[in-house]
Amino acid sequence: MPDAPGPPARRRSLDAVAGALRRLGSMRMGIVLLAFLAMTSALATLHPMERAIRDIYTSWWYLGAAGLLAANLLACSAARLLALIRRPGRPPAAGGCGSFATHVGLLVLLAGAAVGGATGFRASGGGTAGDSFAVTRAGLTIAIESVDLEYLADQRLRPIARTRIAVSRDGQVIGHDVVSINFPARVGGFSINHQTFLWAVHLVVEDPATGERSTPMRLVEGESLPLDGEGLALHFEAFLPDFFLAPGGEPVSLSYYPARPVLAGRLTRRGRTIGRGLLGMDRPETIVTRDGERRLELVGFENAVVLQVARDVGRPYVFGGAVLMLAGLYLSLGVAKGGKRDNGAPA
Amino acid sequence: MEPLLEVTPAGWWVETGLFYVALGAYLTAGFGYGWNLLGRREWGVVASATLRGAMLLHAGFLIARWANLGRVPLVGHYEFGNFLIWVLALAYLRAERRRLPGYRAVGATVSLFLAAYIAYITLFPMVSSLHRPLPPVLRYPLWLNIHVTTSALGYAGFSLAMAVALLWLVRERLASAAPAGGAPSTTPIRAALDFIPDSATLEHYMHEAATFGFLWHTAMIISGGIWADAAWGRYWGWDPKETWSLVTWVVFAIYLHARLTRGWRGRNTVYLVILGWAVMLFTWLGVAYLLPGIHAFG
Repeated sequence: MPDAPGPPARRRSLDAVAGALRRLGSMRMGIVLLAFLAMTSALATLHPMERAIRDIYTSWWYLGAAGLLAANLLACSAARLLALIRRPGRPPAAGGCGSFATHVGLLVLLAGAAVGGATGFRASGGGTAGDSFAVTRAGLTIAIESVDLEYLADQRLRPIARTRIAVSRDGQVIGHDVVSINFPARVGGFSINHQTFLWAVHLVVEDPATGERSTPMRLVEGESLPLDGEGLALHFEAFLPDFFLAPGGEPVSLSYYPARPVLAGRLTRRGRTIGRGLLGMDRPETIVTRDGERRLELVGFENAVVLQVARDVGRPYVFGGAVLMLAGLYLSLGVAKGGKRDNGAPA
Repeated sequence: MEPLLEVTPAGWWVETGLFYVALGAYLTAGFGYGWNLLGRREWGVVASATLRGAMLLHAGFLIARWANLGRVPLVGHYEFGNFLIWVLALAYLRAERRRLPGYRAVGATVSLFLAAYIAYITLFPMVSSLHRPLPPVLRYPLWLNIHVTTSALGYAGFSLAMAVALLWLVRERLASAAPAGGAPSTTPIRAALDFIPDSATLEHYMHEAATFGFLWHTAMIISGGIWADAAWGRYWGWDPKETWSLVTWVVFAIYLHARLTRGWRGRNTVYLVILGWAVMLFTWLGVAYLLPGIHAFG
């Protein structure tokens, strides 16, 4: 095959560049890096996910290896591009273009992930209808306008929570949307995803001696309500929407539909559990505290949601790179030819 | 109490009947391919026709289950396993149609994998065939169907490559055990050796199947990322299933690079494909039972 025509100096410099790229983008290096990343990733799954992410996937040596792989890909792609353009007069083969597109796609994907990881952020917040929470880093305020549960035909399945939100920046509402599982809101460059829903109860505490009743106090699953000045508190362990006492005496919920709502709680004194109990709707329970008797009454309940607010500017590049990579693979692996009948013997 | 869908007795009988008849046909086809390999060539045609019949019956089962569930049956090990078996048979038959007659030798080893997957979904106590409704996170038919279908296609390609790799090893073993010279096809070993394509051709088949699997596996990872972004607010979360899918992808990427760019041939590439299939199997089964994560859908 004749060399590409051109002045010798230009050809020499092209050769030098190609040589340097060949070394940086060598296949051996790429395979070693891929094997190393695959092995460490596999071993990391033996650890709890949070620990693996903290200690391995975001460690300097893992990210360094991934960066080296990106450099390898960059050099490899550049070498492939040089090979394509140094064939004047000959149209580039689909396989060569496909291979180039695959490597560039993967590079764009990795670059997008790196940019997203370095500049993006993720925060969580939530509440019940009427609440709002600020996402300081984003300069946003998310107001929860309503939380509706869509019960499925089989109410033993977790219902779908739909949260209507208003997103504000600097006091100006910049968007309204409804968020539910699989259907995030995309407002002002931010993604707002549904994470989970919880139950919140409304409790009234009455002093039987004086007949004084508190205004309804809201308690979300996992929170505690102080009952006296000596560290006694009611810890809200779980909400049982369709309460049933199992044969073993264990309180369970038969479904998610609140047919017989009951609060399952734990009494604690300075953090130590001293008793457990159930509190049904409009069936007050009396508790003896250091400040005297207190009557606790469950007067209502509603749903709280936890939303995730995230910004990832690399996301479009990750998906764009992925699609380019897939298209490149399709071209380079010759699948596009398909359907031809042959005997399969190699050439 | 576990939530289950109500299925009419007629629907249940049709589904169950088609399932067991299809399984019987798959196993019969497997025996046919085995006899064919050992020199009873007339069994090759029978096996091929039986496998086509098994696939049709199995398609009927999938449709019946679809009707009983009210959704595409792609969720959980039982439904995914069934779909994988069907797709593997389809991928094999497609290749067989293009590569006759030598490709029927691959039918014998593919049948072993079909039988193994059938054994898993029918005999393993933790695999349930109960009709379960979809949890909310999976109620996104577009991405559920794309993600799981591409996954099954990828696994089918890798399983087919593994079946060819196994045949490659069998061929090597038989070649070393067979007496030199002698009349063709006088012993089962000789007959098998005469029928199995040569090593280079088998390697070509293996590469073709691995390529098919790799392409669909890539599509599976990408579609999963797009869906995860909508469902969980991130396209990648290092969940064990995601990570092991990536490891599977990397092993086959290494195989393809080693073969295409470094010119690896023979035993090394066969071992790489076996490793890739083993990692794929761990991604499918090992992760589900040994490594807890958010991909636990039954």
